[in-house]
Amino acid sequence: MGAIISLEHLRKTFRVADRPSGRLAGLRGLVAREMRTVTAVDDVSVDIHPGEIVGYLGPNGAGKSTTIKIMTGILVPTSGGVRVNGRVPWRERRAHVAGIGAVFGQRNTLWWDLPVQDSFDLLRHIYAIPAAATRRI
Amino acid sequence: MIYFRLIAASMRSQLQYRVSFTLDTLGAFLSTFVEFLALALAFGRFGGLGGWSIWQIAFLWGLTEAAFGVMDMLFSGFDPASFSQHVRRGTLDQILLRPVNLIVQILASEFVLRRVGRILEGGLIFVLAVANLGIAWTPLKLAYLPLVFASAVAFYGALFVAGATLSFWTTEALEIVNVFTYGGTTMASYPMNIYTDWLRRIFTYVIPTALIIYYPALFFFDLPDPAGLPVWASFLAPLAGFGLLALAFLGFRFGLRRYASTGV
Repeated sequence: MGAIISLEHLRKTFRVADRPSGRLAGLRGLVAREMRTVTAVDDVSVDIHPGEIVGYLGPNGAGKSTTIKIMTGILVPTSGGVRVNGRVPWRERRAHVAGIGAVFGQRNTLWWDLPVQDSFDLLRHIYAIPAAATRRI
Repeated sequence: MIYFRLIAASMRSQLQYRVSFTLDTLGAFLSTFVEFLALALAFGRFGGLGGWSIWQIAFLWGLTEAAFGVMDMLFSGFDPASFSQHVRRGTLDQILLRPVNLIVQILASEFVLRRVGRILEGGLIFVLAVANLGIAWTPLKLAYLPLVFASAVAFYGALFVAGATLSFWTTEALEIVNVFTYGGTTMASYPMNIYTDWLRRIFTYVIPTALIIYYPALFFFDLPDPAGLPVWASFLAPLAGFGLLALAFLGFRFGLRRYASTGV
C-alpha cells in the first residue's frame, strides 16, 4: 500500500527582519531594519504509511511546526512536494482540512512583537525568578 | 448556509451587552449626524459649494455614509486594523484549519452590528435630501439607485480587502489605507469640482471613488460633468465596484501564499 503522507525535498524559507533587543530597541528597529533569509525546513523527505504512528522530534527552531503547518495546508512551501491523503494540502485546502485534525500548543505565551529574549525577561519578572537562576540565550 | 450561522452567533454575542450596544449605536449615529448639521449651518452663511446646494451634497453624503456603514458591517473581518492582528499573531491558522471557504470565514469572523448607527444616519440624511431635491425620477433612475448603493458597498469592501491583503507583506495595518477608506468617504461626500485637478484625477482613474457615487449623482440630478466626461461615466459604478471587489479577492488569495503563520 502506498504512503498516506509523503514529503519530497520539502523546503521553506522565511524573510525576517532582525529586530535589535535591549536599550532603545524599538527606535533602532524603526531606523535600520536588516532583512535576512532563514531556512526553516531544509530538504525534508519522508513517507508515512497507513497505520503508522510517527513522532517528529527536534530542538526549538528545527522546523517541526513549519513542516506540520505545510502538511496541514496553512503554509505554502518554498519548494518540494507534499501529498497527504492523495491531496496537495495548500491547493485543496478545504477538502484537505476536512479529513485531518491538528492541535498546536504554546500560543499566547510570548509577546509577539518583541524579540524572544525580551519575552523571556518579562516572563522571568512575572514568575519572580531571580536573574542568577536564568541564563541568557 | 454556514455564513448566516456564524453571523447569527456573532450578533447574539453582541446583543448580550445591550447597554453597550445601544450607546455605541447612538454614538455612531450622533457623531456623524452632528458633523452634517455643522455643515448645514455653515451653508446657511455661504449658500452653496461648487454650485451645489446643501441637499445635493446631502445626497452624496447620505449615500456614501449608508453604503460605507453597510460595508463596515459586512466586511469588518477584512478591516485592515483587525485583520492584520490575525496575520501578526498567526491566528489565521485556526481559520485555515477549518474546512469552510476562507473568504466566507473571514467575512463572518466579525460582524459589527453597532454600525447600524452610521447606516441610519446616512439613510436619514439621504431621505431628507431626496425629499427636498425634487429629482425628476425615471424608471431607469429608480432601478439604478439600488445598484449604485450595492456598487458602493462592493467598492469600499474592495478597499478593505486590499488593505487586509497588504498586511501579508507589512504585518502591520497600514495607515495609508485609511486615506482611501475613511478619507475616501469624506472626499466622496462633496462634489468633485471643488477639488484640485490632480486629486480629482487620482480619485477618478486610480482609486475610482468619484465613479461610485458622484458620477451617478450627476445622472440623478441631470447635470453635465464639469470635468467633461461623457454621460456613460455615470454608469461605470457597478463595473468599478464589483470589478474591484473581484480583483481584491483574487489579490487576497495571492497574498495568502505569503502568510507566515507566526508562532508555534
